[in-house]
Amino acid sequence: MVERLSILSIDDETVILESIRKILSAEGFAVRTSPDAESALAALRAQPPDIALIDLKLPILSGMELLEIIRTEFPHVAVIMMTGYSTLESAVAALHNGAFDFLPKPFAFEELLSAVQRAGRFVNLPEEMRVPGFSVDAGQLYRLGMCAWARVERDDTALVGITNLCQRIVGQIMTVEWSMLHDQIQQGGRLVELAAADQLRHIVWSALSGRVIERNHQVEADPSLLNRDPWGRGWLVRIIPNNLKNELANLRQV
Amino acid sequence: MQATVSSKLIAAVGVVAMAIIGIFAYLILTAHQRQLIAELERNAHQLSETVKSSTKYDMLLNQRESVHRIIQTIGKQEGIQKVRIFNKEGTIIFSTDGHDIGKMVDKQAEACYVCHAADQPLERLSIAQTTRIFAASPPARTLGIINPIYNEPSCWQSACHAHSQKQKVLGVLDITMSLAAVDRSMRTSQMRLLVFAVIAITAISLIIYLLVKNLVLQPVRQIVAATHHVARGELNYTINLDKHDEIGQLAKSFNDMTRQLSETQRQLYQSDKLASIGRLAAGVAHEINNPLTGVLTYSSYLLKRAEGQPEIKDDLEVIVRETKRCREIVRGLLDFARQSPPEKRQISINEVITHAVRIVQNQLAIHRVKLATELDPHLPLIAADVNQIQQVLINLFMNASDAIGKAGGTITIVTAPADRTWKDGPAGSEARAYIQIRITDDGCGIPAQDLNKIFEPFFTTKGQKGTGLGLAVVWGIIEKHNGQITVESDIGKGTMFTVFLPVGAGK
Repeated sequence: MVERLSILSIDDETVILESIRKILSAEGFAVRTSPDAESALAALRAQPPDIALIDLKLPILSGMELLEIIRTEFPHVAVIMMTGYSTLESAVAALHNGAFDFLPKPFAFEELLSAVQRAGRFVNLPEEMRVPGFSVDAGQLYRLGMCAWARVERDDTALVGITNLCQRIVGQIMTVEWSMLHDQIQQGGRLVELAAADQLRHIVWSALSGRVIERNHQVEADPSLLNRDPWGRGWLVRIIPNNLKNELANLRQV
Repeated sequence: MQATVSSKLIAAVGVVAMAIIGIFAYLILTAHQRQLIAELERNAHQLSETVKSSTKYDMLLNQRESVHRIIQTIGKQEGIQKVRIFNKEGTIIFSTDGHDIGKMVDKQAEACYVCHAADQPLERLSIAQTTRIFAASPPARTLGIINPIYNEPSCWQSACHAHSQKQKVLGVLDITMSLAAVDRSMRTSQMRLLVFAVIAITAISLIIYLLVKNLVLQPVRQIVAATHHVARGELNYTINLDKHDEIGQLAKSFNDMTRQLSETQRQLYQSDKLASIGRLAAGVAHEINNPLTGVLTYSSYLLKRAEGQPEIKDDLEVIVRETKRCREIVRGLLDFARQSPPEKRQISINEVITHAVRIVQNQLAIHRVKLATELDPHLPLIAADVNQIQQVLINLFMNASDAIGKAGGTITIVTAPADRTWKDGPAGSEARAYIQIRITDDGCGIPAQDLNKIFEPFFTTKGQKGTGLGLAVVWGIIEKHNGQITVESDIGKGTMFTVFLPVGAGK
């Protein structure tokens, strides 16, 4: 690590703040912690961090309101929302409102590390490359946050994949750990896990809810297709969406 | 209780039978007696006419000995008590009883009374007026008959000149006969009728008792026993009564009632359970997530640092693995608890089914599972959430496919109007029409002991492959649509799920 990335962690649970501080410090990050939004804002104004880890449920000012303030006042800070699993809708809303990623509690060390690493790579990217864009005419594409996209097909099924920004951040993808066929997945739920050359495992959240009916056999055979053609032939799974209309509102058009 | 029904019936019928038989017996006996006495009267009258005509000649010749002899001879006949002749003044001239001769009869009594009741004596009498019944020597009764002897020209023209021409009645022939034979015959008839009445009433009572016992008491006892079973909570108890009468209908409607009751109870139980699991899950997830995060981050971090220390690493791996398992359990619960309310609109169930079939068809074809549909084209629209109903259908199709396994088979989907309506909700709103969707597979079937549990959250037969929430979610969705899902299964033959959904626009 050439330059130490700075992290501000905000949670009302001391045990979590302590574990984050201890673990990420040991991994070479400069970690500060705040127990609530008020002191977090003071810390932000004193010295904006590269990455903010914000618990969704905070006393006084909620995590969502804090995100709002950071988006307007400190647009360069990459926000990772820490959410309880019961608030998947809030997690999706956080992505819609500009959070870089979210981290469902309870998380393991490697999940925390991979999320923070991705955010670190994101903030290190040149500004013009921080937005997922695409040039191929492949129909209407919608994205969830920075990483996942979805496209509704003519037979009412939908394809879900990763964005070019995602593959750029994750780097060389070695293997894909798939969802079970026929599994019911949720928007914002775990779609696949990518094992990258950096030894980290990166979770990709599904852009839509539905039932998984097909995996992309080409990607199964050659995961590097994700790096080469993430918008097109590198789609991941085909699902039958079950709440398409409502969920499209949570996505942003690419 | 059973004693009163039959004894009341027997008492009532017994009283009625006794009254009828009593009236009947009275009428028969009086008619019988009247007939017997009439016959006797006729006999007595004939006899008295015979006496009169056979003594007439001797009277004219005034041969008293001869008259005496005739009267004595006739008086010896069986049943005849006395034969007497008295003159107009009431003096007994002839009698079978020698002591009577010369005595006066009391005109106010016996035979004289009929004519002498009025001041002016009657001269002509009917047969009925000439007879009288009295108890001369109780207990036997006596029939008396008088026969007036009228004056005739030969009487006053005869040589003795005993009677003048002015006299109209010369004397009276009086015969008394014993009624003992009649009374005996009457007593026999009475006895016979009494015996008949007793036998008839006993027989009727017995028949009523047996009928009541077989037709009423035994089935009623069975039904009463069934109510006790049901009261103890055995809602699956049914009455086995092979009868088609009113009690059979009662038993049948009792069975229907308990079946409905157990179905309703199961539904209530299930929805209660789902609701409380939902609440619990949300609460647990909220409370457990933060401590679990602490455990998981520290243990996974320790695990990373334990590289090269196998004895610590193995133990830490267990801690991390099991903590992650806890996390999955919480997630499963929350997935389940987070079912959104249906967004209902008017849909054609056949269209939804066709669509769902198209989605899974290729997938199932790989497993050599065929999908056959028999859709009723005239079904009414239903108010439902397309996505949720589709989720239900796909879940059921996939389950059916899993049950069929690798050998291949067929899933049949049938839609039809439901042949039943029932009140939805305990408030007892109006009964609604329903449609039904039957999804039948020819797979391995579900063991009977599992049938009650398959809709419960976390019940799974698929081991690690399943979450045990699929059918619970299906159940939850159908319940939110005010519908119902039932299952029937035969081991080795297959399973049939029937989904009932209400017709119409209701929210």
